[in-house]
Amino acid sequence: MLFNSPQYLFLFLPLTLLVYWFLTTRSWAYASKWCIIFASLLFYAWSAPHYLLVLVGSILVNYLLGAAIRGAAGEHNGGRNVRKAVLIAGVAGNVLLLGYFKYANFLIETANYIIGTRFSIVETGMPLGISFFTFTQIAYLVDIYRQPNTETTPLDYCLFIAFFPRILSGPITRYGEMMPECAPDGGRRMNYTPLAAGLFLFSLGLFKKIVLATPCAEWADNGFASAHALGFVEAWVTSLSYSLQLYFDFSGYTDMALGAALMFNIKLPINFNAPYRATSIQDFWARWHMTLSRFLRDYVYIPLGGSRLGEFRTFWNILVTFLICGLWHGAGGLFVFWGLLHGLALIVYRLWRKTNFRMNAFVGWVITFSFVNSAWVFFRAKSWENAMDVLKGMVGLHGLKLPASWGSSLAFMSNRATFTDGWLNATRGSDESVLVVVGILLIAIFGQTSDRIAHTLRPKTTTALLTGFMLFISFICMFSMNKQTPFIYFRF
Amino acid sequence: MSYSYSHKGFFYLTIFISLALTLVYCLTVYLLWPTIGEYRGLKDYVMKKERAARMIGDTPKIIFAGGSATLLGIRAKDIETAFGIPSVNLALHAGLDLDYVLYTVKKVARSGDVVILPLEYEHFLYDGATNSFKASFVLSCDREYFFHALRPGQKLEYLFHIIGFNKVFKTVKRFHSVQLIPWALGDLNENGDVTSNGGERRLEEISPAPIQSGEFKETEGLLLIKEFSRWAKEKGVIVYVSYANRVYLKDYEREEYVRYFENLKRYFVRNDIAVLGTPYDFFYPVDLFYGTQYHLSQQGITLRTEKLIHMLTDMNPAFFKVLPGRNPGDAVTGGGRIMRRRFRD
Repeated sequence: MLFNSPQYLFLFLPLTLLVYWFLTTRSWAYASKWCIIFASLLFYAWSAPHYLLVLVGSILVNYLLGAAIRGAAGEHNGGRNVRKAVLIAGVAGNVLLLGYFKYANFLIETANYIIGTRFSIVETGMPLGISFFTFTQIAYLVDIYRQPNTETTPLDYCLFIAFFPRILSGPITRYGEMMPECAPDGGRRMNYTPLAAGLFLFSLGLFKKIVLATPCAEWADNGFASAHALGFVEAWVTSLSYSLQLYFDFSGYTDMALGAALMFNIKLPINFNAPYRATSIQDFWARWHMTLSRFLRDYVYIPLGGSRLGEFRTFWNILVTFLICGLWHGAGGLFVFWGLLHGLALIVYRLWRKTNFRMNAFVGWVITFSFVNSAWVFFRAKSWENAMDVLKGMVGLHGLKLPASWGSSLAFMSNRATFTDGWLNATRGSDESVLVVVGILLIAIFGQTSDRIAHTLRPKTTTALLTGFMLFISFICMFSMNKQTPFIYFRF
Repeated sequence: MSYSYSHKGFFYLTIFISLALTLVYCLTVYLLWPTIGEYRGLKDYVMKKERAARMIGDTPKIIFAGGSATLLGIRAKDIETAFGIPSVNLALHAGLDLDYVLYTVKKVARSGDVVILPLEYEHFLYDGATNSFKASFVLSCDREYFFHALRPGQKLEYLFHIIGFNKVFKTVKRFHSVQLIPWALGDLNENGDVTSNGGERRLEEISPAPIQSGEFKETEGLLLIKEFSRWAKEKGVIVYVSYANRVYLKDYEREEYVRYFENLKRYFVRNDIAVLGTPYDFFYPVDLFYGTQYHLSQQGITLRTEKLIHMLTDMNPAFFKVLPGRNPGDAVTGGGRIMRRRFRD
């Protein structure tokens, strides 16, 4: 079930909310938790019934491992070794599970290619959200190892992992930051403040996904499908469309997740802070998929030694962290290369910073955005050739196509450009596509962040009108599209 | 002037506004759309064809249904002349999708009839989604289909489809200048055949037929054919699935096409659905086409219909007996008279 499907919007979410608040206002805290857990498992089973066992099994095993780490905490030296052994086993088990479902075929294909073996591909499929719930559970085990006093009940743990607004694509949350929000405080009253803020955030997310991300998706898909024929403008429309699609798709999803959680009075951490406004690559990673960046920093980069072991080791750690980041997004050479590019960019940025030159913020933004936008091409492309075709188009190697109506006024360019009505044919965009892409880009750069708007929300008629109108427009677009387009991050 | 509310008021007001706007929109579309008469021409076609089928009465008949490749691909009159069995070309516009095509067949098919479905490749790939053209047509001209054949969710989808997503970014001028039927149609004879091609002869871009890539899956289109075949068996109607006429391209010799066509055949055999010919039987040289790569010229229609007569005779000689003294090739000039009922318009 997708967040942008009618089943979710008109049936699942309202019904779950009704039952949850009915139970909560009667002080049946445990029943309300069971309500969320049941709804979450139903939500997961709806999308992937055959993988429900993988999810439930993973929750059960990780809870028991966490309990074992906590149980061994009281014992002194022996206990420490046991805790460490259980932690290593737990992390390895989670990584193996993820590896089996996500990377087995990648490893087999790589081995077949490099050493000429003939292993056949395994038809495993991939449980939805496995990257997210596995990382969340690894973080949980490490946190329990570091702070064994954390109290966890099986019910709370199940709720923490399976919570439906974030099970499929995060945000990757720590136990300590989400679960206190769920603590029963007895005799709760219906709290409309988070409900109103949640509804607003949810509407904004739906609008971003359906109205802003979808047209970009169409142009990006068409552009990448005809990459060899992309003229200069078409190539830029394609790459920008994908950058914007990715941002509005994922931040739209996150807003919907945060909004839905808020309606249950649970506050999840934010994931985006206007990333395309970043003036350096470090700034970009502090604003893009923030919970993943935090996870990689706290559970990969710092344990590797962070920046404490000298410059060379710091660079090495950055590269390893970003290679893992690339691999986490997908089992494929292009994802690894994308991670490598970002790792290298961060190293270059650190070296630049050591020179003590100050870069103008605008120049910094241009360089950062151009880099991020170009790197996304590798993230999206089907193959190396496909990526190179788009990049060649972006530097003008496939020529320049301009609207036929400009032919007379730009006659001096007739030997350099082709004037044709089909100047955007490869992206199947209309003449307005360029303006729409630029408009959406301006929203991405200058628009206020959803979290900020939601938390300064004043319940006024104008805000209610705006929110209601956003929902209405989203409904029109949603129904007129026939099929719900899945969120990009569902496949990671 | 903007009034402040409590969060409770804001919450309910927002939900009220979005639902109220949605309701007003649905009502507006529902009440006002029929005043836009752009789809009347197509509706006349549908009505004429249904009438052609009903005029035959209870005598067993042959029905051809599909998209415009059947409309401009088969001449029912020639079939009727060759076999002496009343025949009707019920084919419509491919934009009305397979579910609507089969719905119209169900309305006129009786026990003992033979239904031949020379389907276009898009029909096999049909994913159940609607489109603005079909939604507009149904809401303008076929409220019965809207009320009786659609599920509640689909009804909403149709209502919302009037202002399609793509239109959001397009100008009003463009929205209203959409050409609904890109090829002009000639008159219909009493068998529902188009008697002349209209519009430009020059073909649009020629490309290979769309097929499933990767693993073969049961699409919504195939599921509809399977359900239709089941329905037909219950009603005593014989069904043959066949393939649309299309411009021959070398691409069809590629492995992916050969494999896909083989998978389609296997699928039909597995589901006990009779198939008439292979896709390769109905690929023709480009000079026999007119306007689009699915529409044959009148000469092309004659050739294709002759081929079909041969195939039907071979396939079911007991049912399809070419009338004595008449060769399939003479069908065009044949003069078999079939009694038809008189219906009032």
